Amino acid sequence: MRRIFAYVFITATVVIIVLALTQSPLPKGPGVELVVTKCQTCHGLEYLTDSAGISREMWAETISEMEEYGMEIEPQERETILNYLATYLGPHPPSEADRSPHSSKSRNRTIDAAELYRQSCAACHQAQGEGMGRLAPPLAGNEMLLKDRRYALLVVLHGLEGEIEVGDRTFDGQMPPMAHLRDEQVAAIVNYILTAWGNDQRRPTDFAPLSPEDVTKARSESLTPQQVWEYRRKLR
Amino acid sequence: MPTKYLRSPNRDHQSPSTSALDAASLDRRAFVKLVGTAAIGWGVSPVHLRAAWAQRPIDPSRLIPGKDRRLIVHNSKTGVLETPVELLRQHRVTPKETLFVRNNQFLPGSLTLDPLPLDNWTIEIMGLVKAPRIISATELAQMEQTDVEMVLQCSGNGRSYYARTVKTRGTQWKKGGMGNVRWRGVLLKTVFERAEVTIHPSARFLTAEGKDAPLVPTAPDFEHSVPLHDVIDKAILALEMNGEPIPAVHGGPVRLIIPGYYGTMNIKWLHRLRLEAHETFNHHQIPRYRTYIRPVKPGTRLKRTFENTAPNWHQRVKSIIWSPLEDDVVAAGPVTISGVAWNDGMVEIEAVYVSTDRGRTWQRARLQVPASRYAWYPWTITVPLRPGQHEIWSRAIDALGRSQPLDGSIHWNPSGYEWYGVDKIRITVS
Ligand code: HEC
Ligand code: HEC
Repeated sequence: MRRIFAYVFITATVVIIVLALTQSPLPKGPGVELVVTKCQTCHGLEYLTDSAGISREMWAETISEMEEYGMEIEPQERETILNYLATYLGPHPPSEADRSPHSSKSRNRTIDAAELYRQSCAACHQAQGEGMGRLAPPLAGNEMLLKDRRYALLVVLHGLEGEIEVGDRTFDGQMPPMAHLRDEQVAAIVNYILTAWGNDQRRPTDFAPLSPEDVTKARSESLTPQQVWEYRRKLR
Repeated sequence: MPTKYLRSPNRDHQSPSTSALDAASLDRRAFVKLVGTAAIGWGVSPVHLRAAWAQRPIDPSRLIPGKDRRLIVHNSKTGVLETPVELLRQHRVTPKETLFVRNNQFLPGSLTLDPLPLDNWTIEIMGLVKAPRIISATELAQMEQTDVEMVLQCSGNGRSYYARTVKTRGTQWKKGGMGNVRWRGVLLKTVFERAEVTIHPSARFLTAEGKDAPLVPTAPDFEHSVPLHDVIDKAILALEMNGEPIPAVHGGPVRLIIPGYYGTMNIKWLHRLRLEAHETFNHHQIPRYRTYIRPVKPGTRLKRTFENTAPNWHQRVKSIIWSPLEDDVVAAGPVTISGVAWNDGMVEIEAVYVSTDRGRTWQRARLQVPASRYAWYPWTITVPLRPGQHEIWSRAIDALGRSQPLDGSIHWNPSGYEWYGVDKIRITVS
């Protein structure tokens, strides 16, 4: 009976943690499990979510203060918690797309470009790059993308605004700058749209794939969406 | 018994508990009881479990039975609840069901609106006195009682507005970390007289402790010091709130009430008073609950010392707009704007001015007479507004000329205390 009791107690404990995690109001990210278990022994996690946006130094001070209140953590745990708080509850938290398990959290993990496209672009340009009515131009078979190696890259980083023609359709919308994506992600997405849906068939042979370094460089150009539109016009 | 709050999990939803239950081959009640026990061990309350199970946010009326379920939960464990302005403005005296809650620590059995019994509750008076005394709550109930209506306000109230410059950590209170409440109890000086407490002339501060305790015994136990000379004539050892024994969650059976002071100094579950020559250097008195004396650039983090900071004692002059509310859409034409104003009660609030052109011109609102100098002053004004986006500002000024800064972040401090900037809301007039 004792053993059953102990067994059930442990199982129950696991259930609590699972429940706490599935219910946790905190964004998922490396270390969230530790934060969830360590930071709600004395108060609710609301204190953490309420404080979201403060600097790394302020989080570091907060952790030290919690230690004064009796929180016990190993130095390594402290590091993990601080990294989590400063990243996910810091002044510049990663966007939803970055957080998804499909995106690359660490540089050595391969980026799933198709998935990134689905998350960041498909809402407007649609799953097969076919575009959406008069709202977003097609990317599949779009000649403009194949006229200049860097054009699509500039659009993704800096946006696009102005009347454009694609095939026999005209569009006069706004493409929002997607500069929140990291360099590797932008390179992967742009390489993807330049090769997917048969675009690779028509792509000039001297079109080398874009590298994250190309993205870094293009990012530093800081163009307005109207300037990108001018750039497009000159391609004709 | 914790188990009574637990609800059986939703059957459509394969929760991890189901498989655990099968594996353990115990009946559901026993299992649920064990989960409850484990949960307590882990510091997860039944209310949390219930919320987790039902996949919805914590209900304030379950966290603290009797509280209005529309309150905002800022800490679902020790109990920190904010009153939305929509509820706050409905009553001249804030009822216990909607009054905000701010607990730093925890007293078992206190998360309820029910009162705690007076029997066996004692208050020790010690320190720089000829002879220490212990008085009982029942003795207090026999002494002559004094009434006071006053604004009870958390010193963090309005903290979220500091985020307009540099966000500060902690609960992001808007305007509802306050209420206007009636207390009844015995004046501190009467207590000292009746209990024949002889205070040594070197005593300058009154330090108060409550019966609540930190979760970890080695952590600093919450306490506060206030200047004795300033509080001796007005502080009361309160036994009643709004005509009833003080609800446990609001600090009964005996709470130290200091009209005009920030809420944090009004020690709940009072059980010890120390007379001392210096402020306590307890962590909750310093560096917590203090602001810089000289304004600093938002984001500056100076070490807080007794010399460069002042404790959250006297409430700053403040007004808030509570109708219309931020982002409201109102019809063009005459628009009635209303709110409340208050200060530390040293002198009267003289006027509240309202601007609809971002501070270029100000009009004087009509003030109502408050129930006491420590209570809030309701005010209203009707102004013509054309269609479009408008900002409405309010600014109180008291008889000493003390007023609210146009940019409240001038008083920026790392913990975001004592926000008292001119209140500013944005509305649409259609
Ligand atoms: C040993 C108990 C304990 C643990 C564990 C703990 N805290 Fe706290 N925390 C406190 C106490 C006590 C306070 C102050 C009381 C209050 O504000 O209600 C506090 C307050 C806070 C505040 C409000 C800011 C302030 O200055 O009041 C934040 C933010 C916070 N804690 C974050 C954390 C984080 C992040 C963790 C996990 C790394 C954590 N806490 C773990 C005890 C604890
Ligand atoms: C919110 C909708 C929206 C999203 C999301 C969006 N786009 Fe666009 N995109 C547009 C619109 C609208 C245009 C056309 C703008 C115009 O007409 O001026 C456009 C134009 C483009 C163009 C230029 C097409 C041409 O013919 O010149 C490219 C390349 C492009 N988008 C790629 C992307 C990629 C890659 C993503 C994801 C990272 C993305 N877009 C996400 C709406 C969107």
